[in-house]
Amino acid sequence: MSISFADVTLKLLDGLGTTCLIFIISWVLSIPLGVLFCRLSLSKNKIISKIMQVFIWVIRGTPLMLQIMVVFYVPGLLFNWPSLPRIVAAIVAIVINYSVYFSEIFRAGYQSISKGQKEAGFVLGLSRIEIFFKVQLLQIIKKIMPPMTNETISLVKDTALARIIAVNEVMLAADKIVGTYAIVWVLFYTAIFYLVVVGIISLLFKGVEKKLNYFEG
Amino acid sequence: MAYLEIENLAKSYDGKTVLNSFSVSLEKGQILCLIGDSGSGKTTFLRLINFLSKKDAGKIFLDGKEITKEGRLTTKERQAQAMNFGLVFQSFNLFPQYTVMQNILLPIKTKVKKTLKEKKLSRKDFKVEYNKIMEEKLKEADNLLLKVNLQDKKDSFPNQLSGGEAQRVAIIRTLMLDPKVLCFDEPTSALDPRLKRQVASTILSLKEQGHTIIVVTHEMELASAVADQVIFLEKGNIIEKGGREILLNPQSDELKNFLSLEQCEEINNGQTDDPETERARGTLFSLSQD
Repeated sequence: MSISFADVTLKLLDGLGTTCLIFIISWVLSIPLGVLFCRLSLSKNKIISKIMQVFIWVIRGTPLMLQIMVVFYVPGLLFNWPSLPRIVAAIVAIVINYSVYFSEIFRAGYQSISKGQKEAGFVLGLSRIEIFFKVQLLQIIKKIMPPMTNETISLVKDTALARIIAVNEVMLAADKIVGTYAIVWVLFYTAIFYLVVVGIISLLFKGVEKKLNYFEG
Repeated sequence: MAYLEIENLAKSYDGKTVLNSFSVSLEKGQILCLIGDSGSGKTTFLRLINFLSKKDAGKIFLDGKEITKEGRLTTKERQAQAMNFGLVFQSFNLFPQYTVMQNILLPIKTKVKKTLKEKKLSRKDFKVEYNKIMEEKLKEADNLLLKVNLQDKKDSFPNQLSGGEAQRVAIIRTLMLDPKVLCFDEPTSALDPRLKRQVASTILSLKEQGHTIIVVTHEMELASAVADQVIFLEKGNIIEKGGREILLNPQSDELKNFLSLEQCEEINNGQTDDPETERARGTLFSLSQD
């Protein structure tokens, strides 16, 4: 039994579509949720910030694969609720996981901006919103670009964990081909798919970093 | 009542007093210099009068009106009071992502918008009025930059400026808001000797324009060159206050200790028409308004 190069490519491209879908939706949703988590963990209300600390500890301290399984199986097994569609369950778990990581990056970025910038904004009459959006935000974005690039690349690769609940992303597609046709080169070929996606993302982030190089933050 | 009256201003952190019953009167157009070691309470005083920290006690009267009130102030109220004072930070705190001109115009844009919003103009009138005022402000900023030899730097970013240039930009940014009292926090700390003299010159020229100024410094040369009043602080307490002559004839042991013999000599030089200091007194450059 054999499979042509074109067929392998088509099957992997099909999986890559799912991978990209999971990645894009997860990334887009993780950013605002990360901002919200960051805001909550910086809250002056000690109860809220403590709850956030515990939540961050749990999410960071357990494997993403486990979280995907929990989101997919637990509602049905424990509460007899209908399971979420597989891809949705994977996205939900990835969004929760990555928004926590992103929130920590945002928090570090926010706290790295000198207090003097905020104070200067205050004595110059800027409102709190203006201070954040006109003074701090761009400086924060500049500071968080390198860790955000890393996390985004990790996110692309972590979409492969969705295969644990049988989401047909590119790794599962490759695994099926290897298992069925006993050909190893498919694994290296799959690596090229990831390298291309990661390469594009790296270039995009580098471009943004370069654009922000006009000032020293 | 003097132009600026401060009565029994006090602040403590975690039970430790950092400013104790601080009172001072300052006439319009005068320069007050606060001197003292690190941790003496100088910067705390500046933070309190600029509403960056909350006072524990005390009153501030400006131009005959009390600008402090008992109880909790909202951030907006605190800020409205803070706008009576202009603060030039020790590290200037220019916004790094904006050019010199953008740094100068950003706060004024906000101020103009706020003022026009209070007039409740129609959208069209608002736009016309706003553009008209901003055009004038742009000219004013250009003019000020020209006077401090920074016109060619208006499109530069803060990281492309020297310490002295950044400080002049920070001064213009503050001046554009037309504060009633101008405050400088350690204005010479990051500068070389030549630039330190320029700072003295700048402060004196601002005084000539009628600005009321408070300078926090530990540089005796600067205090002796510009001060009308000097207050020496130690551990949050006023140890000695008076005219700049207290730097020459200190009465308290604390001030005597503070002013080392070498520093005293520098002050004497400053008082005996040292050509460098005289130059600093207003000929290097001027910020005077037309």
